[in-house]
Amino acid sequence: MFIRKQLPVLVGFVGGIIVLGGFFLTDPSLRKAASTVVSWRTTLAAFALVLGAMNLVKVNWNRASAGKPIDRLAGLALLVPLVIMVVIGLTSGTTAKVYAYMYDNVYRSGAATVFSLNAFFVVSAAYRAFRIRNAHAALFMVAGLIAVLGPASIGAYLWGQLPVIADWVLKVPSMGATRGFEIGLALGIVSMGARTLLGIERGYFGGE
Amino acid sequence: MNISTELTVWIAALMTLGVYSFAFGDNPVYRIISNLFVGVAGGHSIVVGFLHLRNAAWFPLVRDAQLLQLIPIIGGVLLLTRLLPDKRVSVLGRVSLGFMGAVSGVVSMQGALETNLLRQVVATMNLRLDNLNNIIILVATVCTLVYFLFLHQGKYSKVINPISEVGKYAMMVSFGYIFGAGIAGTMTLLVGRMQFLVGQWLGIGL
Amino acid sequence: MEKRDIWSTLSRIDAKLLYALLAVFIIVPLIKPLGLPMSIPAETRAAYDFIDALPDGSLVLLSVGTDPQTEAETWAQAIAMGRHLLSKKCNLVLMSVNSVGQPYAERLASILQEEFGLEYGQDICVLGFRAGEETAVAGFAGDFLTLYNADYKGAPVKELPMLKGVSSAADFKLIIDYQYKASAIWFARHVGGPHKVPVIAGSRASSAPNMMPYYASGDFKGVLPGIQGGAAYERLLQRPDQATKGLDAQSMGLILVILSVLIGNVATVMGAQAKSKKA
Repeated sequence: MFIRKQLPVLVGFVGGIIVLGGFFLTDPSLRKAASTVVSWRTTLAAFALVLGAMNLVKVNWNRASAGKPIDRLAGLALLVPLVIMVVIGLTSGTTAKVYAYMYDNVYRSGAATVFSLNAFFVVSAAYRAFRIRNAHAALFMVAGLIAVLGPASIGAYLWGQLPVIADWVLKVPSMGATRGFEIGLALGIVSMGARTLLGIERGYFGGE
Repeated sequence: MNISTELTVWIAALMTLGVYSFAFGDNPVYRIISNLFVGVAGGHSIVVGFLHLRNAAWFPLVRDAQLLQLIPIIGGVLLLTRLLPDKRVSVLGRVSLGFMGAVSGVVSMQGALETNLLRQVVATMNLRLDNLNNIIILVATVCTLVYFLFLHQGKYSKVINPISEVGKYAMMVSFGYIFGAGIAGTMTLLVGRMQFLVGQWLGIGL
Repeated sequence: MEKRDIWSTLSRIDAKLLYALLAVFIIVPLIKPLGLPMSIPAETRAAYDFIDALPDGSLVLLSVGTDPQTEAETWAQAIAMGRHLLSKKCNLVLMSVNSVGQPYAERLASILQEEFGLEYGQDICVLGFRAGEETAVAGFAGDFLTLYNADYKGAPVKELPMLKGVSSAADFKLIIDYQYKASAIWFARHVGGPHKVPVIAGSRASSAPNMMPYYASGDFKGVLPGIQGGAAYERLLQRPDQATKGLDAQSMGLILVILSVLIGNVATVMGAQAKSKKA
């Protein structure tokens, strides 16, 4: 139907063409219109942020309402601090003491620790799974070892030339490949942008 | 050893140790703690989302009488209908999604054209080939591009395939470097948490 | 029961032993630093030299995309560069394109205000977070005062003394970005290119290879790669701090990773050879 298929593509096309026109043409009113459309996009992004968080609430409300005791406890463990943060943040701002304490000591500590857990798994994987089976893997491993040791202070201690070699790898072969990758990526972005503008690419609509 | 007596340090330390318990297997303590900080992050997202809306949409509407701000606000409300179970209503959110997707696609496109594409091509063309390093950069760039753009060209594969193979080797070097640097970064994260546990919580002189 | 040889035993080591070893390798150098040498990457020195050459009182934008995942690598960079900028009496505008980064921007402002006795609104301000990622950066570039019309507390930006007369992104003398996804590249695309504002990228170590093409083409005036970049900048400022303290421990952790790869590979190869000999 029109609202489901054609209208979103039409609205997107109009918005996208205004932004594209503002980029390529120098007319001041068109550029102003393009800036306005971009700022509207950021407003919608803020709504999307709220939407994502509210979806989290919806899913965990269902968990906290039914299911095994541990699932209900886990659901509550998510909802209670979420509500506290929202109430304090919207009434007293993000600089309120309790808000800042919860952010620093609950979120920052927990999230940073989750990512740091990977270090343990990396050591375990390095021992059990990192195997050199062919030329590509050997090159991958050698470059990886140079990246690990070269910039680190132990590298300079073990062999003075190691940081120099690491710098060369970073700025010559690796940079060449990355540059090729970035140019290819740019072509892909232009192609994807054009497809999105014309409504050929519609994956971002999600289901139904 | 001078163990901290501050409540906030103890909360952070218990959060840290609770998460590290996952290294010994999934357990209820880890699940509760991970949900705690996801909840805090979720609440924070709602707050900063609202603050953006207040500053960039509400204030211009109310303080400066910019009535056009009603358009993105209405678009945002339509977007929120995606939460509703009734598909006849939630379909309205697709209009906002269409706008968001197209505008961000065009924004990325116009940015990538000059910086990613033109300036990188110009920088490659400006390489002076009296220097072995520049020759290696040029070869790696071109071969990597050939790999991405001309893979599986049946008729010309005898020419394309060897060039692509060189590109693959160049990419292995790059990805290997990225992987190694990623490991170094992960180790840095662990060092950061250990600095907190040992220095701030246990008070062992750092 | 089959007699196990040393290679079989080595290849079946319990992961928890490795975890314990890693903890020891990290904690010992934190308590007793090893004093290992450090090199200064050329791209970090370039960033330092560029900031050093800025005229006093320049208006600088700090995009603080730091979050718990990148904090260990980019936070020390932010503190060190903030100190350098303020030693040159630069006016700092802080913002974030990462929803989780706004508290970091607020905290950075608070730390620098306290250390240098700055007045909010006169020497430093925090514009806060705007959603949209690359679109927010494009919005900043296109019409700065429309998108960033209020600071993080809601006060009108036009009333901040330090931003009087500032009407567009081109009025900034430098943008320093602390990585959130590809944020430095977004700034180079939308502000660096069109408005010719120099950009310096504070990045994670794993993103440094992706930043190099932009550094080589001149889009970035400098790059700080991970904790090494932060420690190198502290060394150039002659003020060792967090990044420098963590380097030795990071090195020992990395040594364990390398030993694990080597011993694991050797154990597998020798174990396979021993098995085929028995067969």
